[in-house]
Amino acid sequence: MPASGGGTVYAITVNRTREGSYNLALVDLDEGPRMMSRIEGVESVKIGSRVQARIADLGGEPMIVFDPQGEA
Amino acid sequence: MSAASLRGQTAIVGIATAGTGAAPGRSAIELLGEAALAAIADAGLALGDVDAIFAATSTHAMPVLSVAEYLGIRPKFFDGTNIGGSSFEMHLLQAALALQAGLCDVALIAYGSNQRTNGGRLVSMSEPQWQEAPYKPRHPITAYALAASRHMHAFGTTREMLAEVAVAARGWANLNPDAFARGPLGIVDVLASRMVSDPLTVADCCLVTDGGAACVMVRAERARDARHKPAYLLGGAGAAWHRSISSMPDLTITAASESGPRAFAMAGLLPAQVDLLMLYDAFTINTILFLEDLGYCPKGEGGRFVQGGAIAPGGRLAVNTNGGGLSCVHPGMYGLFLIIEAVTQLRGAAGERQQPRCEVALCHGNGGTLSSQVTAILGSGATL
Repeated sequence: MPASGGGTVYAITVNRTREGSYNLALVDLDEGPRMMSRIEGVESVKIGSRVQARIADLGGEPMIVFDPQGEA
Repeated sequence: MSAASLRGQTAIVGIATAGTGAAPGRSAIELLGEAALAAIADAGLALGDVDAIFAATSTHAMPVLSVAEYLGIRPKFFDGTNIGGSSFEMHLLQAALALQAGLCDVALIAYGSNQRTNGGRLVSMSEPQWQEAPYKPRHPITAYALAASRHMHAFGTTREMLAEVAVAARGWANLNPDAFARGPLGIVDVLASRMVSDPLTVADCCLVTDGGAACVMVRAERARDARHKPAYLLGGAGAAWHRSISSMPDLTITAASESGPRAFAMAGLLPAQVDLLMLYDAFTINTILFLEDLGYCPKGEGGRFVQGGAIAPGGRLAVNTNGGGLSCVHPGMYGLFLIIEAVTQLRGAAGERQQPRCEVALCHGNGGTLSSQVTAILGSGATL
C-alpha cells in the first residue's frame, strides 16, 4: 500500500525516566493502518493532531517518526 | 451440548497464598510450592490426591514440569497456557473441562514469584514486539498509558477519576491485614505522585510484590465433602483480540466486552446479580475499562461511575475488596489472587472487609497489554 506519510495521533503518552522523557504515540495513517512511533520536536501533542512521517536515525537504525503539522 | 453444561459442575475447595508482600531469600518455586501444599491441606486432601497441574509463571518456560518435579507428583493432565495475568482464570476453565471429562480428579492451579526481593521490578518473559521495540515503550505501562490517554480524550475521563480507583483500592487494603500497601491515600496524593507514563503516576500502577498462590478444584459431587464451603464455577469465558497495543482495534474497548457476556450467559446471571467484582487492576484505567465492558456502566462512563467512593468500602459496588493489585499484592501475574479473594468472600472468611451478602463473585483477569481477557464467575452452594 503506498503511504502518503500523513497521519493523525490516536493516543499518546510521555515516558518519564531518569535519563529523560520521550513520547510514544499511536498514529493512524491516512491510508488506515495504525503504528507506534514518536512525535519529534515536542514533549507531547494533543490527540487528534495531524502529523507527517519522516525517516530518522533512532539509535543507529532508520525509523519512521512523525513531525507535528500546524497547531500541535 | 452447550457451554452452560459446565455451570456448577466443578468447585474450588482449597485456597492459599504464601509470602505475599516481601519474601526475602525465597525462590518463586518455593513460594508456589508452599501455597500449593497449603491449598491442598485447606481442601482436606493430600498431595498424592493431586493428579492435574495448571500453572504459569513469569520465570518458568515449562512451569507444569517444574511444579510437578518440585512437588514430587506425576500428573496425568496438565496445562501451562500463558496468556499473561489472566492465565489462571483460563486455567479454571481448562481444569473444569478436564475434571468434567473425567481426565483428572483433583486439579491444582498454582503460581509463584519473588520479583520484589529478587530485583524490585516487574519480571516478564514477554518478548519485545518487533514493530514497537525501536521506539522503546516501557512494558507494560506505555500500553496502558496510551489506553488511558485515549479514554480521557474520548470520554472526558480525568486524572482525578483514575486516582479514585487507587484511593478505593487503598480503602479496601486498609481493612485487609494481609495487604502490602496500607495507610492513608487521598486523590491529591495520587495526583502528586511521581509521573511515570502520562497520565499514569506511580500510584496509578500496581505494586511489585512477591507472592505465591494456589487453588484446588474438584468435581461438584466431591466438593460436598470439602472442609470449607465450595466455590462453584458458574461461568467462564475468554477472549483475545490482539498481542501488541498497536494492534488493539479500539483502546477504549477491551475483549472483556466479549468474555463478560459469554461468562454471564454460561452462569445464567446478569451483572446486577454479582455481589463482588474482582477486576485485574494492573493500572487504574483497567478498573474503569472493565466496569464498562462487563456491563456495570455505559461505555465511557467508568470514570464518573467510580467517583465519590462508589467502589470503595461503603460504596454502592464492592470491587477488589482485598485491596487489588494496586494496594494488596501484585507479584507479576496477579490473576490467581483475584480467585483467592473471591473464594475467601464466598466462604464468609474475609474478616473486617467481609461483604454482608456474598453469593456470587466475578473474577476478571487481564493479560499482556489489555490483550487477553478472561471472566470467571464463582458462586456459593446457594446459586446451584
